[in-house]
Amino acid sequence: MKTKFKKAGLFIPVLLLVLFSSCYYDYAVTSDNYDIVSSSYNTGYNFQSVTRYYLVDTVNQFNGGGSSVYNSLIKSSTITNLNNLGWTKVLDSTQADVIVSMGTTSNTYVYSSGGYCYWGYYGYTYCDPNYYGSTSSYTTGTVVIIIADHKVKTGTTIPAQWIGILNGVMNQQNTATRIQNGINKAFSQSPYLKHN
Amino acid sequence: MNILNKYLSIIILSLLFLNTGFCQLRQGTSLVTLEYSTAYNIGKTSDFLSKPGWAGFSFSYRSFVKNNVGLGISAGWNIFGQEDANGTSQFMYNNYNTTISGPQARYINYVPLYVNASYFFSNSPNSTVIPYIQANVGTVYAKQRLQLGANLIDNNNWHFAVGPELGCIFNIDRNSGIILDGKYNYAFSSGTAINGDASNAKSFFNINLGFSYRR
Repeated sequence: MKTKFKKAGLFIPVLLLVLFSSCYYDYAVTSDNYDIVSSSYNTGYNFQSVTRYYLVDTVNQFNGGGSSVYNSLIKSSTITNLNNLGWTKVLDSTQADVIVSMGTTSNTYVYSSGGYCYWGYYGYTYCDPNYYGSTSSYTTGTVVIIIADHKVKTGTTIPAQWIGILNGVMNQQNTATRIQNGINKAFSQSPYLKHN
Repeated sequence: MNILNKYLSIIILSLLFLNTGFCQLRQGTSLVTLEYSTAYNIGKTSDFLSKPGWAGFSFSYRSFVKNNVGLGISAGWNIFGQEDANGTSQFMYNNYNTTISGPQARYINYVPLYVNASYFFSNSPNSTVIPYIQANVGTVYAKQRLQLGANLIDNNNWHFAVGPELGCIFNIDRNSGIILDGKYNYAFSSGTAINGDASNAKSFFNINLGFSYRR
């Protein structure tokens, strides 16, 4: 009995390791530090062979999310950056090499912390965040800019050749500045788009 | 004298005393060790997170089936964390090359679980220092997280793993000692790499220091 207990005891550290192996350092993100910028491009596409772009006038709001307040800023920043990279804006889509479209969306995340915990009937713990705990939420906003070549198709789909994405927490300060800086960053970290 | 210097002095003075007790690791005895463990990513794993993991521990149990030959199990836990207020990550997936800039944090937790076979070089009855070599084989559970702004990407996998180990026991008395060892861990590819690479293999090195007890 003693030997069996000793042998069983050897497995306790192993079980503890597996159960508690979720320890991360606490990344204390500051309140104005959630903005990320992504630039993604098709490595098989020759951006140097195209120079004329047609800008879709409407900024789409995906899933009913995002806000139209910043549509003009998104369009003007996109135009400024493309022109600075040596691209030429045309008003007739049939004369363009590529089509540039933009959109916005938002997502709300709900999370719980704390709460009254008790051992359930079968020995597991259940914590009810609504009982002494708290439930919080935050909303992120996303701006998307897509460059697609209407002559390049996959079946009936026109795949994006370049995608710029800005993502950050909404309801914070300086949203217009953050959007403009983000769009500038999306293009500045895409040197393959440069023509001059 | 501060606390660190005090404990270092105790360890050094202990090592200086000759141990006249019988130190051969005989068949039928067992050896238990508990160590503070540090870890260092190597190769492509270091490309993801290069900062050393200073938080960790390692536990092992060996039963001597022959004189100086032990079979046993070991378990450990190492934690890595690295934050960058304005970092850049690169991904490649389906011919699309992606650059992501902004506040980022990277975390890895390793839980190596091994069975092992070891040989201790102790033929002298007056051995104060007993070097050993050990082969470890088993699994490593790797919890990997990439935080991009307010977004989290988790990649958790069990990996088949192997780990050659080299170490030394410094006997304090007939039963207890200080153990120092180094172990290379290679966790074979399992699942998908977080950055889109073909291989999700992990490699890291441990340097451990702790206490051993033999009976």
